[in-house]
Amino acid sequence: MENQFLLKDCAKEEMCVVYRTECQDIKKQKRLCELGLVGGEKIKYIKKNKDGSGLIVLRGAVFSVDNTLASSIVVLRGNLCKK
Amino acid sequence: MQKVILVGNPNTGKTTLFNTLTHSNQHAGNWHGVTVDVKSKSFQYHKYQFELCDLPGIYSLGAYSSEEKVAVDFIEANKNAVFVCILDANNLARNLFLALELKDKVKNLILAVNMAKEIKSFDENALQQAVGVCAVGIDARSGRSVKRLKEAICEQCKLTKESCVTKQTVEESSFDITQFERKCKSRFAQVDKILLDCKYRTKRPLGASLLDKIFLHKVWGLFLFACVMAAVFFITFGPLGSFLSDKICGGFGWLLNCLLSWLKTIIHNQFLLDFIQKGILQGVLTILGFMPQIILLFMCLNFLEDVGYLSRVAYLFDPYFKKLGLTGRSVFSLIMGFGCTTTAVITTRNLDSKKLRERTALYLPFFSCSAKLPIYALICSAFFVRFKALVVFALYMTGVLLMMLVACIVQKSSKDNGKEIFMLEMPKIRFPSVRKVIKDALSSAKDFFVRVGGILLISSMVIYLLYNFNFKLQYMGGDNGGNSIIGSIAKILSPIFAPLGFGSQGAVIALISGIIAKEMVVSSLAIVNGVEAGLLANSLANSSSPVHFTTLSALSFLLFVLIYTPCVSACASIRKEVGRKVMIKSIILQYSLAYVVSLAFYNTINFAICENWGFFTLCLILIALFVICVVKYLKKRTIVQNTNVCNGCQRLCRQREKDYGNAYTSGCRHQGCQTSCK
Repeated sequence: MENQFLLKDCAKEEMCVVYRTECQDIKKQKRLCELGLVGGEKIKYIKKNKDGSGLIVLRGAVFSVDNTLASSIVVLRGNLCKK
Repeated sequence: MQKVILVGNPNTGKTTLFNTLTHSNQHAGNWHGVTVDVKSKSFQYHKYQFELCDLPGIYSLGAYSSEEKVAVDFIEANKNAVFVCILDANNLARNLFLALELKDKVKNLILAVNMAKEIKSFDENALQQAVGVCAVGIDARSGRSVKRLKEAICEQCKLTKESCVTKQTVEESSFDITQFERKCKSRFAQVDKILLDCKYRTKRPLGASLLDKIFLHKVWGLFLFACVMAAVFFITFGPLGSFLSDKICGGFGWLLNCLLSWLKTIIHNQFLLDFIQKGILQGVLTILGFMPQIILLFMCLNFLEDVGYLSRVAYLFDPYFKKLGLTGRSVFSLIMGFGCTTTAVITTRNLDSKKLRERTALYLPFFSCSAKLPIYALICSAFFVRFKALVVFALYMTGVLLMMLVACIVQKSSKDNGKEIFMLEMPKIRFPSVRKVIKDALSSAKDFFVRVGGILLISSMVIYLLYNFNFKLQYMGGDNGGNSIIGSIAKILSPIFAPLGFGSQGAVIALISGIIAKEMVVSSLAIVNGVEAGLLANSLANSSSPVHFTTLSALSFLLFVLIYTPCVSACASIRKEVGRKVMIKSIILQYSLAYVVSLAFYNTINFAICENWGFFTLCLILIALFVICVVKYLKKRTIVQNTNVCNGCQRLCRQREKDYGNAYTSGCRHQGCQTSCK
């Protein structure tokens, strides 16, 4: 779908909504779900580096993420999605 | 005694609450992974006696890292206990996930909303009604409303019911991730509804603060980190640390003289007098003289922990650590290594993968612990008085650079394609209270005294006896220590250390005793030289002393001490946490690297000064042999690993061929079995 993007392609302060996470390790996938990375959750960068690493806000908490994780999260633009 | 268990997400204030309720001083810090084991202590309220248990932080009842397994196993084993789920008021949207999971599984549950005064609005009663369990707003740090929590615990004890806890384990074959995700979604939806009912609003702005913009800047953040570490060393080894250390040494020197004068009046046995003076008092009091510097170092590290700066450092260093086969999370353990290697190895439990834990534990000994601090301070006092802080800083940085070099080599040889994901919660920046800083300083002092009074005292007495008796158990006296038990062993080993510049028996005895505890190096030097604490530094520079150094050999000795094997306690910790193989690898690596680095340094500088070709050539040959051995070992590892991996899909091949020369190297074919990649 053309509305789907990787988190690392989103701009700073642009509100996005998580569509799915692509993680091969099932345990890590489970941990990401428990932290709030499930479909429909709002996410945005508050600090973004060129490679996609930075700080994100997820469920009211600030997390630091690396470029590997930012490349594993598929998101929808905030105004195009339904929760 | 009713068991009360504190559970909650990491960094919500469980240990702080534990300390407040039990009036103890367990280590608490502002980062994920401080508590890695279960701590228990009893407390009384009214007529009730409780056993309070503090668990490592968990995000859910599904265990992921080994510290979480500890927590979940404990919960399962104590199903009928009263559970107090600590929630961070600033993060209720995520913390309530665990609370709802616990509510489904456990009957005796209380919610304690910590730091409740930091949020804009929050209705406690509405939360209680919405979740269906007792909820209390508290401030664990100040102890506010803790009395209400105790009342709630007493009430819950009266209503204690049988409950059951089912541990969730991830089994890859039967686990349906889609279903699990749906379950998480519905739970988060439930949490959002609860927050709506509670009229929950947080004060915390959801943006990077000004401090974070500086701390997390790619360039300025690293520069700031270097400045922070330099400041830590300056405080520890600079004018303040030296001043306090000199005063303490002077004080203990006076105390020693008074004590000896009094002992001479009541003890007339010369051996007993010598044993007490040189075996106990001199050995132990020498170490006590460095207490201020050790306490200052721990205070600085605790301050950095409490502020929340370490999480920022983890984020800054993650891209660089990935190249070394580590992640940003390893920063916590590595920085703890500056305090104590034993404790730092235990904190590797919060790392996700076994390989990551093994590597971090392997590299930890390169981070010079506080026990080596007295050795550095002593030798710098003798030879580098004006540049003490600089020399010590250079030593610490040498350790870090060597660690990076070794990590690079290990990473390149391992062909590791596994990409670790890094996701770490950023705690709020909080400045610790003066009370906490003083409490931590006193706690460090107490731990230090316990260590000195325990293992160091016994080791000091043992070293004295071994240095003054021969194998026939005849008393030799300190002047004839060369023929004593430990002197004879040192005589055999001395030629090995001669090329490093410190082949004297005394120096070797000090290094042997350092295997038990690094502080023993200083004690042993005091026993061998037979001088009190205040005169030890001068005696090391005096060529007539049994143990003496030149400036060059002192630096070589410092380099060797920096790198050589960690103490027995650290080795035992490595064995327990990551296994015997890693412990053996660590010992061999540290010894061989310490030897080669000291050898290369001493002989290169010596050659530059004296043009002593003989020794220099020998040194070059030994170094060349070491490098050849390392390269051969790494090549062998690389071939074995490469054979199993398909170049195309990077998956492991189940079959292997013995003849590696015929391996098919291009396209998507397995090297081993020559079958197509699926």
